[in-house]
Amino acid sequence: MKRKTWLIGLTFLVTVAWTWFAARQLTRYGHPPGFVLTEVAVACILVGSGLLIWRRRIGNRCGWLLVAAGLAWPVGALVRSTDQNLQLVGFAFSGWYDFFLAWALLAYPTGRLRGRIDMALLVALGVLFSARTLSRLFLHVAPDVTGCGCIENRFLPITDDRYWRAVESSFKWGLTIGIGLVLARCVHRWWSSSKPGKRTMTPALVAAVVLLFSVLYEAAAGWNSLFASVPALRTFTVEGWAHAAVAVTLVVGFLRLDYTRSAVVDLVGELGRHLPPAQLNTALQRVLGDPGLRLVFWSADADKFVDDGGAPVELPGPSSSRAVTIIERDGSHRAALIHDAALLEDPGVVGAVTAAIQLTGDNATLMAENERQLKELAASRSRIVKTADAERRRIERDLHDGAQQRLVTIALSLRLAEARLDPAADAGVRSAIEDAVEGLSEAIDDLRDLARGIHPSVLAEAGLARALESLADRSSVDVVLHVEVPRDLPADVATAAYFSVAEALTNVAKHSGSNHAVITGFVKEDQLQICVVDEGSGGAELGGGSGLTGLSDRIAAAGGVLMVVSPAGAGTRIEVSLPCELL
Amino acid sequence: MDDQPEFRLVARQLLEADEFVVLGEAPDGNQAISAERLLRPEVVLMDVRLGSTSGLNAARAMSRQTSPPVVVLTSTADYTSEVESCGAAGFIPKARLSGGSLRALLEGL
Repeated sequence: MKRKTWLIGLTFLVTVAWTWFAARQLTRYGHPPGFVLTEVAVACILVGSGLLIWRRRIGNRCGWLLVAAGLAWPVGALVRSTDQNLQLVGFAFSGWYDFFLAWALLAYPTGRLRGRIDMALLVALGVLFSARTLSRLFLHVAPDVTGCGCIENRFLPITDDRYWRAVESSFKWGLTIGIGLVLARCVHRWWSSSKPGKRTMTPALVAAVVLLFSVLYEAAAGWNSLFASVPALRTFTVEGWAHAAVAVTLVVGFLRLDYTRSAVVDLVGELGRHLPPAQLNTALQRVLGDPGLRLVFWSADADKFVDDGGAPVELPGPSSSRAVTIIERDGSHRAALIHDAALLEDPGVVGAVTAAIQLTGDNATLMAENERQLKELAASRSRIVKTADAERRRIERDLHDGAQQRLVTIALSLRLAEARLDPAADAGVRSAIEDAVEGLSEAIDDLRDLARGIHPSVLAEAGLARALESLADRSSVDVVLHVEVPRDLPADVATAAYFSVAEALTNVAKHSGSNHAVITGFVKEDQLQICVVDEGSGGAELGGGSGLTGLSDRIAAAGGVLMVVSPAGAGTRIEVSLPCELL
Repeated sequence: MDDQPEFRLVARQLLEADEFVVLGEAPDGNQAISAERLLRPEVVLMDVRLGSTSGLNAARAMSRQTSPPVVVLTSTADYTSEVESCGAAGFIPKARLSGGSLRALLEGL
């Protein structure tokens, strides 16, 4: 950015100094101020237009070509210098601005020449201008022709001006034909363009017509009166304004390209709304003004491009007027844009559209990947909880069938031993046995509570409603139960619901300060709804490592939702909603 | 009725020691139902958790008969809440089982 400003400033300074110097030569020679001003203005318009284009499109050669044309414009004024060397330079190098403008027209709007014809045409024009410059430098020029009689050739000892005249008249014809061909190229490109292409190319077409007019006018008006004072001035004025018009027209063209680009910005906005492929196609057609545009997608399965309906699409060949822009990601095909070749006139637009589509594609891929991972995560979480539940059931069953049964059998055996004890036996022995049985019973109760905490067997044996009743019976708070749920709920759903109520009741007893809770439960539209309400102090929160967090995770793993409404001082309402497809 | 032979043995001895007459034993719900039809006992002591059939189902089946026996549920876990729904007369935790506790329950009916 700094370099850009610096370059523009420097160019501006050079232009001012250079045109001031040239204007001084003209003024000193006695040209009227109006003519001098015109010369200065034309140079400034050309350079200004060039800088404007360059500022908008860094790297686009058209900008610098216009600057070059602007700087070349006042060269002819050096003829009016008092210095003979400068006179010769001015004489030999005047007119090169036409070369730069022709180049700019051929390179418009990308700044690069397309194909060999344009290249050959430009080279031919370069040769033509070089030939004239060389002939003016080295061949004999009759003094009267220069008007001032001041220019004389000091390099070659030729005193016949026929060679020079031949080159001069060839140049005029050559330039007219050359600019005519430039116009023809512009017409051809305009003609073969689609609607948006035509819109882009129209300024170049107009500019080429103006330039040709200027060259023809100059050729006709100044044909035999080169440097003749009166007609030449008028000719130069007309020619000057015509050249300025060429530059301004090209600037207009570049501004139009900016409109297309702003349309691309709109497109990016539309892409953000996740358009389906068919609408995306329509949006692209509208934005790029190409009704024939098609967006096709790469199918890795079919190994070819397919339309949004999945039908294979043949891409147009190189000879077609339709161009193909392949959209790739990481070296593999993603999609292809079949569009008017003229859209490539502004590679920035196609680049932006391509990038936008790539982004959409990436976005869609990321979303799909994200969704897949989320699903996988949910499935994995559900599996983990189910596995854990199964493991708890197994542990509980092992406890029941193993340790609990053995202890129970031992307790009963002791009781049997006590029963069989001789009535006259030592009271101490009897009491010891009784103590042992009592201790054992307590141990069995502890083990039973532990087993129930691990997995409530009543859930499997009698269902959720019974299990909740049993929970309510054991709870230290008064519980009113309104639970009407089917007996055969899926095990993970019943387990999640059971532990939710268990946790909720524990919280009521521990934190709420209330000794009353209401539990409701029912199934509606394949959703098990469980609600635990107390009228305690409220203020319960999800998160922060509370029991509710673990509960929330468990419920989420079963695909359900936990909601806690607990305003401070106004009781707590815990709602659990679990999806359950009844068997 | 219980699926654990050790428990059945010690329970039988315990009850017999307290002057109960044990007519028979069964290791699962189905056999318990057939044994009950055959032996027509006054009281059936039924473990809730059996391998295949739940003791609750067996109790329910028995209580649907025309002259049902008194079914007393027993288990290590607490099934007091299930007593009514399956037509049983009561619940005794296994660890508290004795002739005394059973008699107390039956007398309370």
